[in-house]
Amino acid sequence: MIAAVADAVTDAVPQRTLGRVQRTLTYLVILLMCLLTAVPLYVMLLVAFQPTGAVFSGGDLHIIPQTISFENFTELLTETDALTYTYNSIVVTVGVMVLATTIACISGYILTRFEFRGKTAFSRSILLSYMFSGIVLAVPFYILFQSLGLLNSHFALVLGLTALLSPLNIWLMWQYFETVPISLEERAWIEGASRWRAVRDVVLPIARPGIVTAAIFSFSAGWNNFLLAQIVLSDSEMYTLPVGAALLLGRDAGWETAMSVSVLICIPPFLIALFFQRYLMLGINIGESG
Amino acid sequence: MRERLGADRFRWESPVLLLGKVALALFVGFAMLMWLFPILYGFWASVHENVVASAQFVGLGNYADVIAHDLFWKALNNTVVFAVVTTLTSVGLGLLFALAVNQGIRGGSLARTLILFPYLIPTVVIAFLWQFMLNQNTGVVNELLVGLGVLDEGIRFFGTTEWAMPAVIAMSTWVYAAFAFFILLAQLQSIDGALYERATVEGANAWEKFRDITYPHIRTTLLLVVFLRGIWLFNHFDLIFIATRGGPINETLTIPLLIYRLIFREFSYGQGAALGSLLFFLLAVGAVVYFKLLDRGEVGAG
Repeated sequence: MIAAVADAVTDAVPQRTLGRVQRTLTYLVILLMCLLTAVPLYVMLLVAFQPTGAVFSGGDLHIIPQTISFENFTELLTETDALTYTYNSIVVTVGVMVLATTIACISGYILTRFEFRGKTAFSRSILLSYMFSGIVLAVPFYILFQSLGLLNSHFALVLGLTALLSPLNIWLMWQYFETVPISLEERAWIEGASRWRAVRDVVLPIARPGIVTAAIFSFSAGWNNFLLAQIVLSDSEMYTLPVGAALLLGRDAGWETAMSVSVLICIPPFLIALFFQRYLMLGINIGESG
Repeated sequence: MRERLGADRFRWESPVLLLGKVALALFVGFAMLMWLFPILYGFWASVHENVVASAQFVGLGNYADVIAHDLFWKALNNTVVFAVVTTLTSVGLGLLFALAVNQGIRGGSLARTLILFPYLIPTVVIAFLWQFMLNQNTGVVNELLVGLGVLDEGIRFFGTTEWAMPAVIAMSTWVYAAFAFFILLAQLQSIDGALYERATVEGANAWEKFRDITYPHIRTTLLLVVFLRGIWLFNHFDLIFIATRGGPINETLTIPLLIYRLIFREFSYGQGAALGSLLFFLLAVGAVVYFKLLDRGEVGAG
């Protein structure tokens, strides 16, 4: 008994040193994480705001810019269809976010809370469809949209992207809803809430980080997609930003133009990240007490 | 199990039931049209020749042609290297970052916002950015390595056979570490902080806490992230296609790029579909083995 107490006392000292080592390592990892993420982004911004031709003329790129020029951007906005592409991208992305997140929530909830025939087969087929090559699927999509008269429409692109994205999102929401105990819902029912109210007021708020994650994945799929957009959209007025950017850059543009298009494409994702940041913050303080 | 028994005791209210049925019917219709049809069409095309004009049944002929293709084994090898290494590096880094941010120390929330950006940048941009960063003349990476005296002169990372694959893997890791990071961080945050406090009182060190509290709690998610990301990387196309087109000398040619070549360069949709189906079967077998090996009751859920 006394020995045990003595052990506890001697253990407490290296414990504190260990804690300090751990803290230092944590800081180093976070520093590494910031550098790895931020440096390429900084380089992109740096080049985008250089006057046209600057990267090749002097050879050296200064870490702190000597001059800042908006030349690339004014050229981009006035002399190209960049604004049209941006509008198209916004339409497609919002469509995918709404449709894919809704489908993920409904299917995830059904998979967690109800037993039905074919459930196992359904859940397996979700995963199986995830294993099928996207390029092979692009051709039947083309045929399908052609026969439905949907080719060259943003609606078709939204449907296609949602279909490609749903396996991942449904899995994610399924996992999330599994962590919400049904007893919470039952308590709401006993207090007279309808099934829908219980879902809206109890389940969805708890699953919010999952919903936000699904929405971010959907955003990413809608805003990023290149291959399907290129196949479905034939009219250049319908092009989304990635397809439009590839078209612009096909004309042997310099690094400055490439980077300024890149910055333009990156603005909405960055705004989204800052907006969702508040939701992702929830619960971050839990670890702080220890 | 207990939870599902509870669910059966309650019935759907009738208007909700009707709405639910309509929603379910729409959903099933959508799934049939957008999932089942394209996949079945792909399988159908894989056993036919001259698919688009006048299809003729050729049995497994396309499969035999594809396996005999000059580049098949090289592409398969490249795919395995790319997918396995990228999965390990991105999930490993994602876990490391998630553990660090979960400590709740200052700077963590900034890091968490920053890491979201690479994941949100379109692939077209990522490819441009890394082509620039790894460029022999203007690239920041080469400038740094030469400046530090590691190299005598810059390397054309995407252009040399030894460096193209590592460069593609590094670029992909940069993007996909964020995916593992967010899912794992969400899971880490759901761990009850009191468990760690009790472990601290009982004198557990950081490693013991990780082994006995953290790891059991995130195990299912971790295995799932490895699985989903791994499968996805086997079918990955855009980033490699835009950055290298499979070059130099097919050094970064993976199966999806070979499928693209078969369909859009050699105009044989049947063979492309056969290769896609072959990869699908390999992945399905891999998935079954994975779940069998790793206690499928826990991971599979279905």
